[in-house]
Parts: sequence; C-alpha cells; structure tokens
Amino acid sequence: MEGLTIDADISSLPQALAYVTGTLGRLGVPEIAILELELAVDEAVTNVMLHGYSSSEGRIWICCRLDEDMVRVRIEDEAPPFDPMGAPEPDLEGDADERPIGGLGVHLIRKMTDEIRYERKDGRNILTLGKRFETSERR
Amino acid sequence: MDITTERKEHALVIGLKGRLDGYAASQVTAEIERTLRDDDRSVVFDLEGLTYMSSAGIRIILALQKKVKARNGRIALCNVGEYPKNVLSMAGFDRVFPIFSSREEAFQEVRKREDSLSLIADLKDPMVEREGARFRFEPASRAPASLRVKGSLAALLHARIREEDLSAERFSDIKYSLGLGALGSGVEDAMPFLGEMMTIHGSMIWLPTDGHDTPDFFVPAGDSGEVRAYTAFNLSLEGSFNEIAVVEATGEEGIALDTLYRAVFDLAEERRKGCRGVVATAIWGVVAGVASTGIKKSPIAKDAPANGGSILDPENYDEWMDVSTEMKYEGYSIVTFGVGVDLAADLSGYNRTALDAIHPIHPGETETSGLYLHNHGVIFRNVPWDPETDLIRGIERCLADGEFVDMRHLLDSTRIRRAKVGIAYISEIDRA
Repeated sequence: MEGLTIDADISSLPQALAYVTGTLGRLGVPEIAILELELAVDEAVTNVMLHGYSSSEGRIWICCRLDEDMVRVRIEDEAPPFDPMGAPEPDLEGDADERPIGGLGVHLIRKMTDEIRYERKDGRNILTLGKRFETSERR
Repeated sequence: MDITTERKEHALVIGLKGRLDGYAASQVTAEIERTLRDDDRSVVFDLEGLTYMSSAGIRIILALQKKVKARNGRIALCNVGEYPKNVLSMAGFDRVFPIFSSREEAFQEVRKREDSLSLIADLKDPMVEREGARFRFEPASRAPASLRVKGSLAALLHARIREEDLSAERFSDIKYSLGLGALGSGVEDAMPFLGEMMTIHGSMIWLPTDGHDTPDFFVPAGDSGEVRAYTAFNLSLEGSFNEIAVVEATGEEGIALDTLYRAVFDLAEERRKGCRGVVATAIWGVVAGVASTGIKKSPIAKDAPANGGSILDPENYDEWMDVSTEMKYEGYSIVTFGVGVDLAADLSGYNRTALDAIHPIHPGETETSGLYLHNHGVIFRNVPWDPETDLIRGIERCLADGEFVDMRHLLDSTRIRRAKVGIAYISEIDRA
C-alpha cells in the first residue's frame, strides 16, 4: 500500500496530518475540503493512538486517493476491532457538567465528511473517510 | 504550538497559538498541570492566533472548566478565531463555554464571582491588613487549650535518644501533633528510622531516616494495634482552637511563616485575646513556596556527634540535616501543625522545664524575628482551594482527596499565599 506508515504514538500525529494535507494539496483538492478532512483524520488517528492500541508499539497506515466522485483517506490499524461509527451520537444539549465527552471526535468526523466506511479485514481496522468537492476542471 | 501562561488580576491567562491537534493537546495538558495552582479559580483562555483545533482542545477546556467550577470559579474564552469557533459550534460547545471578543470582557466575566465572594465575606467580618496580608478572625472554642510535650527537643538535637526514651502512641487518638518517631513492631525496629513526623486527624505522616528521603503517609485501617508509632519527642495539642484566622496575602509572593506568626501575636494583643506568649496552629492553605529541612539520620545516642555538640552545629549540620532553602511547591496545598513562642512575651507563667523541652536554647543562636517556631507541614497537590470550606473540612479534604507530595520540617521563610489558620492560645504546657 502506498502512503505513510507511522508508529501509533501521539507524537507522530503532526507528521500524519502534514502528509494528508500535503498530498491532498498536490491532488488539487480545494483548501476548505483539505481543512475539513484534516480534522476528521486528526480525530480518527488520535483515537487509534490513544484508545485503539494498548501501547505505542502498533502502526498506522494512511493513504489518500482521488476518485471520480470524491477524495478518500484510508486509515488502517491492527488494534482490536473498533467501528467508530458504531459509537452513539453525543448529547450536544444540556449542561457541561452532565455532558459526556466521549463520542465528540466521532461527531466531528461525521460533520466533516460525506462518506465513512468501516471494515475489518485481515486483522485490520480499515476506516475510509471521503469528501466530495467540486473543482473548476470538473465542472 | 505556542503555549503561554501568565497571571493577571487574580486570573490565570492561558494563551494558545498555532495548531492544537491531539499531540499538542498532550503538551498543553502537561503545561496546565504544571502551572495551575490549587487556589486558581479564574481562568481565561486567549486563543488569538489559534488556527487549528480538534476535539482534544475542547477536552482540555472542558476539563479545566470542571476543575475550577468545583472551586466555585469560572473560565472564559477570548479572541477565538474562525476555525476554533467552527469546531466549538459544531460540537455544541459554543453554548457551554463563555466566549468573549476581548480579554477585558473575559476578565470581567471571571472576576464577577471573585468580587461577589469577597463582598459577602467583608460584610460578615471585617478584615484587618497587617504585614502584607489581610486577616479575618472567626471565633471558635472558648475552652482553654494546652500543649503536652513528651521527651525534649534538646535530647533530639544532641542525638541523645535511647531505647528507653521511646514509647508507643496511639496516634489515632491524637488530633494534632508533631515530633520525632517511627512506625514499627517494636522499639528496636523503630530506633534506626526515627524521623520527623506529624499526626493529624488520625493519620501519621512521617519522614523515615532510611536514606530514601521519601515520606510515608499512614492511615490506620481501624485500630488493630499491630502497627504502632514509637515517638521519642512529641508535641500535641490538648483542646481545640480558640480562633480561626482567614489569611490572604495581598501579593502573589505570599507572606513568610514568621511574619504570619508575628501578626497573630500582635493582633491577639491588640484584641486582648489573653495570649500568654505561646500559640499552637494548624494551617490549611496554599503556599507560594516551601523552604524546609529534614533530619537525615536517626538521632540516637550511639550515633551522637563526636564533638558532643548539637546536630545543628555548623560542623555537624550537613551530616545530619537536609536543607532546602530554595522555594518549592508553588501553588500546592499544605497542612501544617506547629507552635510559636513569642520571645518578647513574659513566659514566666509557663512550666519552665516544659517550655525548655519545646524550645531549647542554642548557644550562640540569636532569634532575629523575636520568635521561636517549630512547624511541620504536609504538602498536597490538586486540592481545590475554596474560601467557603472551613479549616477542618479543608484538612480532611487534603487527607482524603489530595495527591500526597511531601512532608517537611518548615523553615520560617516558608511563604503562605492564603490559608485558614486554627489558633490555640496555649494556657499551659504539660510534660507527659
């Protein structure tokens, strides 16, 4: 698989985000879509690093692909099976004291993307985040 | 990520610039943990120049909001750029965090609570300002208080302690005491490890002289009688506090312990409290800095200094005492117990040998402050300071919920920023 391989350590996060924004920029993805995908990838990758693997021993694979209809970022890891989209929507109403903080990252991923696909395959969690965009060439 | 912290008008201002991703969040959390004092309760986040933020940023702000809310405080955000504003609003937190366009407005918001609290307090009891701090006194027990002393400090300081000087204490019975002791199954067990200790509300905090410089915090689970505290010198309060002083230093640097005691003596005299020159105090407070010493070796007779002098003599000092004059633990919580003797007072009303046992005269030593103080303190972290919590509950909160950090013999230069001080005007000193 082409793309970037990083250690599942939180200090590798800036490198992963720089790779994603750099690659998407070269693929001609508009600024606003890059910003939104960056946040979604941040949330997904941080989650794997902090809650997926039990140590920083694991690895994470990231690659970006430009398809017909949208740009897709694929994130793979070998942590225990976890479908982030199975997490319940956080309660965004109510007082801060009662508000559970969990699910906030997933909520932002949903907001920032047009397509989320999860599969478990060959011992890997595979999360694909897709974003539709329009470019002047495509119009 | 560029993190700055500063204090302005009693508020902690945290400036976050650049990109706040999951990694930067771990750095911000560490910086807040390092900077936050136990008495901080007004926090302004200045997000000017913050160009990126993930949910990790929201978690940081939310965690701190919960923390200061528990102290009756507030947070406010200002100079929130478009990107973080969008993230906050998508997550629904733009309605949870108070957001202001300028620092000034954010200050006004966090100060509201601060101002209303001090107004209420001022109406209740007037404050007097003395020696860089404001004092408010609340009456407590009317019953006279006394001190009980076991052993003598002179024997300790000359390392003359023998096995027969040790006896077991049921320290769970003693509310406030300080001294020299050790936990053990018998006298022989305890002898080599005698160290400075204090007992407070049934817990014993002890610095064993085992060479590790690591204090022990011991809370007896029921009184099975299996673990005993052997003490060679012990000074305990019999009775309760006659007054509680609420003390707030006017400056960030706090006031020194000897200044605090001096003010207590002076104000007692002015208000005719019948102070005879000796007070015992227990403090729950937040420190600006702790200067301290600790005895390094068990002061037993077989190891006495060869020159027959005191372990405090210049030639013996380094071997026996671990000294830290550098201020440590800024913003941490402290619980102390100790005594103060006003050397200018007429002390003839006290039992002379009992007084000598707590205040040995060191040849060649001059007391520049006109005071003799002996205080031990336990340092804790992450105990919310709340001026509405009373002394006893504050001490209990430290013991139950605080992160135990250290136990030290306090130097008089230790600086207190704010405190509740239980004061017992000692009517007599008895030898055990």
